[in-house]
Amino acid sequence: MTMHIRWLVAALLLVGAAAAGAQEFPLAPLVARLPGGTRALAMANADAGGRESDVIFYNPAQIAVARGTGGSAEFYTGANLLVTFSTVLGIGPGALGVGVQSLTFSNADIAYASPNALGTSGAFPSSGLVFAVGYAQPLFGFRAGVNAKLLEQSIGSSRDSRGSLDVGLSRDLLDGTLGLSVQNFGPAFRTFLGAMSQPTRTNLGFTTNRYEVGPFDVSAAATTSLLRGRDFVAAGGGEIAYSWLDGYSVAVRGGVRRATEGEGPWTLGFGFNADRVSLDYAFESRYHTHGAHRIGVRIR
Amino acid sequence: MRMARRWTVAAAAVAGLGGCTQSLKLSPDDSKTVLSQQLITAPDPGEPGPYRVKYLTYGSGTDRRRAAYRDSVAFRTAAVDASPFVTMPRDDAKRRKDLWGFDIKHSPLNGRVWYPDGPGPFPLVVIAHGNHDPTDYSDPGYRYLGELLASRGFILVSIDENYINGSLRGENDGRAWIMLEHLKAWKAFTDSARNPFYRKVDWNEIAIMGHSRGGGAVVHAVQFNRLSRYPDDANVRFDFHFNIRSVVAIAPVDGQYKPAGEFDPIENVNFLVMHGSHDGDVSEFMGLRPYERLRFTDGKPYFKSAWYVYRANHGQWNSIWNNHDNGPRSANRLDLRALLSPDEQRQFARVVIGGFLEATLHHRTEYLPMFRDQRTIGHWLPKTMYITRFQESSFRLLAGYDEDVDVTTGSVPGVTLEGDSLATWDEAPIPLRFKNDEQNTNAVWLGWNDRIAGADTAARGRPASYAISLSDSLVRALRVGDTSSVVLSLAPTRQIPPPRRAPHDSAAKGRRAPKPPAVHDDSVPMDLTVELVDADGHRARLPLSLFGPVRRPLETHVLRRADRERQAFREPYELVLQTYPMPLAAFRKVAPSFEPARLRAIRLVFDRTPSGTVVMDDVGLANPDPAFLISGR
Repeated sequence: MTMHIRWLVAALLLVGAAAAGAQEFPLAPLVARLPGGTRALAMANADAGGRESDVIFYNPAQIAVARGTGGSAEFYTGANLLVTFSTVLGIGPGALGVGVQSLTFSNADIAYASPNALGTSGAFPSSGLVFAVGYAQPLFGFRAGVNAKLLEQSIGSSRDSRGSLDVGLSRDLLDGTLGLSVQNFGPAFRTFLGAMSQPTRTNLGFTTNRYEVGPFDVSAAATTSLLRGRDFVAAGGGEIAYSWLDGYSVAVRGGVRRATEGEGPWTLGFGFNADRVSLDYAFESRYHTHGAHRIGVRIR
Repeated sequence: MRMARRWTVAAAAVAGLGGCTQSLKLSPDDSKTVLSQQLITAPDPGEPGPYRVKYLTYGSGTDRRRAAYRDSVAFRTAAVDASPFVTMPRDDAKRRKDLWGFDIKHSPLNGRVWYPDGPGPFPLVVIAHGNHDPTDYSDPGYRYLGELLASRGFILVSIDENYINGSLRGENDGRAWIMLEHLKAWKAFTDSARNPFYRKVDWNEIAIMGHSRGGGAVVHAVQFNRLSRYPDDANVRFDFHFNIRSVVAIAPVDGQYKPAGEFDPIENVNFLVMHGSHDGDVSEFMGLRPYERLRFTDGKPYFKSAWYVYRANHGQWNSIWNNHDNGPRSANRLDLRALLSPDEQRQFARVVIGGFLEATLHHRTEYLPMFRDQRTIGHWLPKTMYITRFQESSFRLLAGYDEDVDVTTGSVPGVTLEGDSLATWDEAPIPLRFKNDEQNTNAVWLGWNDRIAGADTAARGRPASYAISLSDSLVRALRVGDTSSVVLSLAPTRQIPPPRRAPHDSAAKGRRAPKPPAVHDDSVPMDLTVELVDADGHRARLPLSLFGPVRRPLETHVLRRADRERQAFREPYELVLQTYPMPLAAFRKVAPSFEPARLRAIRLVFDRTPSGTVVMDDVGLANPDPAFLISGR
C-alpha cells in the first residue's frame, strides 16, 4: 500500500470514528439511511464491494467497475414508498455514476423522521430525495471514488436540502473485493427541533467473487458499519445461483444483520437473470411490522 | 388461489424465457450409403497390433502436484528455460509459481510414454495437449492413442504442458519449443546406454501431434525445427533439425502465434488434420489454413489429408476433456445432444491417425488409399459423415484462384477459364464459420439455374458449364497420361440463383430485379457431370458423385441458443470442400476414344441438378503413386 493510500484510509476511518463518537441524536434525511439496491438488500444490505450500478449508494469507488442501469421500488407499510434509480457509464479510465433515491411517506412527527416511521402512517405527508453524481477510477492499485450529492427532506410544510459527499476506496483482494466508504458527509439539516446531522456512515465490507460449487454459483458479502451516534452494526448475506442455460439463471439470497432502528434481523430474496436483464425481489424484516417488499430490475 | 396463479404465471414466464433453445437439427445421415464398402484389406489400423505395451513416465522427479512426475519417474530430465517464448504478467507468474512450485525459467520436461515391448528401433511420436484447466491435467488424455500406437510399434510420448495452460495468450511458440526440447531430450535418452530407450528410436521416422493449441504448435514446431534462430528474438538460437516426417493436428488453432507477424509457412511433411463439426471451443476448421499453406517443394513423396468429422466435438479427442468444450458448465451453453459418443470419436482418431502413421512412418502403403477416398474404409469408420481434403506431392495446380483478379486465367500459363450460362461466376475468399474469419484462400463460386423465367415452369435452357482449358504444351509438361488424375475440391452451398431470363424478352424491360437467391431444397440430390475433352474433341463424361460424396453443407448448431448461434457464426455450417481425385483411366473406360495424354479441357456441366451453387478450388492434375489407387476405385 502506498503512503498516499495509507493516509487516505486513515483519514476515512478517522472521519467515520469522529462522527460515530458523537452523542446519539436524530439524523436527517431519512432517505439517505435506506437501502440502495434489491439484490444487496436481500443479502442484508451488505454491498461495499458490489459491481452493480446501485453500488453508488454503498461505495462510490466501485462505480469504476460497475456497469449498467437499475431501478427498484420498496414498499413499506401503507403508502410509504422508496424508489431508486442508478446508472453507470464508463468514461476514460474510470466511470461516471448517477443515482436517485426518492422516498414518499407519512410521518407522525412534525420535525424528525426516524426509520420507524416507515412502519406506520402519520399525519404529515413527507418525502426525501438523494441525487448523487459519482466518479471513480483506479488509483495507486486501488479504486477510488467520490459522490457529490444533494439531500432533501420535507415533513409537512418544513423542507430543507443540503449538499453531501461520499468517498470510497476498494481493492480486489483474495478472490473478492474489499471496500471502505464514508457516506453522507455534509452540513446539518435545519428542522423545528434545530440542527440535525446528516447520517454519516462508515462502511467496511468484503464481497466475494462467484465460486462454482457443483452446479451452483455461490457468493457472499459482509459489511460492518458505523452510523453517526450509533453502535457498530454488522451484516452479512449470501447468494446461491443456478444456471440451466447460458445467459439464464435464478438465484436465492439471504442475509442476517444486527438490527438498528426500524429494521428486523433478517432479509431474503431471489432473482431471475436473462442475459442482460435481471429481475430481483427482496424482503426485509422490519421492527414491529410485517416487513417490506422490494422489487428491482437491472440492465447491463 | 391468487398466490397459486401468481406462481403459475411466474413459472410460465421462466419457461418461456428459457424456451429459446433450439431443437436438435442435423443433416440427413448418408453414411450407410457412403460408407457401405470396405476396399482396403489390410488390418484395421485402429485395432491393437502385435506388441505388448509398456508404460513409464519421465520428468523432473520433483513435481509438487503429480506423483507420476515425482516419485514414479523412470528417469529424470533437466528443466529448460521457456521464458523467451512464454511471457506473463508478474502476478500471474507468482500465482503459477505458487501453484506448481517452479517458474517458467525452470520448465520441466515431463512425459508419459507408451512404448512397444521390443528391441526397436521404433518411430517416435510426440503429442502435445492444448489449453485446458491447468489442474485438470491434460497429458493422460491420449492414453487411448498411446496404447494403440505402442501395440503397433510406435513410441508415443504425451508431453506435459499443463503449467502453461490457463489464461495465457500467444504462448503457442512456447508449446512448440517445449515439444522440440522433448525431442532433444529423447536424443539424449537414446544415446545413453543406461536409459531404457537406448537405441530404441528410429530417428528417421519422427512424428509430432498436437491437439487444439497443441495442434497449432506443431506447425510452429515444424518451422522452428528448420530455423537457426527464433523469429521474434534472433538472440535465441535453435539447433533442432530432427527428421520430422509427419505432423498431425487435431482440432488445431491457427495464427494465435504468428512468427514475425506472419502465418507460419509449412513445407515438406506429411500432414493430417481433423476437426469436428460440433467443436464447442475451436468452432471453425482452422486447420484448413495450415493445410492450404503446406507446400511440397523438395520432390520427395508426401501427402496431406484433412478430415471434417460430422458430430465430433473438441474435447472427446482427449479422454480427460470429453464433452466440456466450454468448461465444466458446457451443458448450459453447448448442444451436446448431437455429439458422437466419446468411443466413436476416439475410434475415428485411432483409425485415421493409426493409418496415417502406418502409411508415413512404417511405410505401409496399403493404407494410402484411405486418405484419397474415405469410401475405401467404410467398415472401419464410425458411422457419421466426413468431408475430406487430400493432396499428394505430384499434384500440379491449374486453378487455385489466388494469383490474380482475372477470372479467365488459371494459376499457370496455358490455363484459361470460361463459364457458359452461369448465373454466378466470381472468385472470393472462402469463409470460415466465425464472422470475419477466412480460410485464407480464394475459390470460384459457380451458380446456375436451368429454368427459364416466365409462365412456363417447364422451360429449361442449355445446362450451364464451366471449362478449364489447357494448352498442349502444358499437358505435355505435366506428363498427363493414363495414370494421371484430375483433382478438384468442391462444395455445394445452399444458394440457388433465380431462373434465367428468357432470351430476347422485350417484356423484361422494367421488370423488377430477380429475387435474391433462395435456400436449397435439400431433397433434390446434388450432382454434376465432369466432362473431359481431348485434342480431337473426344469427350468422356462421368458424374462427380462417382468419385466421392457430393453433399450440401452439413447443418451444424453448436450452441443451445439460436440467438447466440446467429451472433457468433455467419452460417449454420462450415464450408468445407471435398476433394475429388478422378483417375483419367476411369474416363477412358467409359469413352475408349478419349486420349488422356491429349487432354485439352476439364468441364463441369451442371446438368444433374436443375439449380445450385458450388464453390471450387485447387483444380489440378496429378500423377500419384499407384499405391493411392489400388483399391479398385
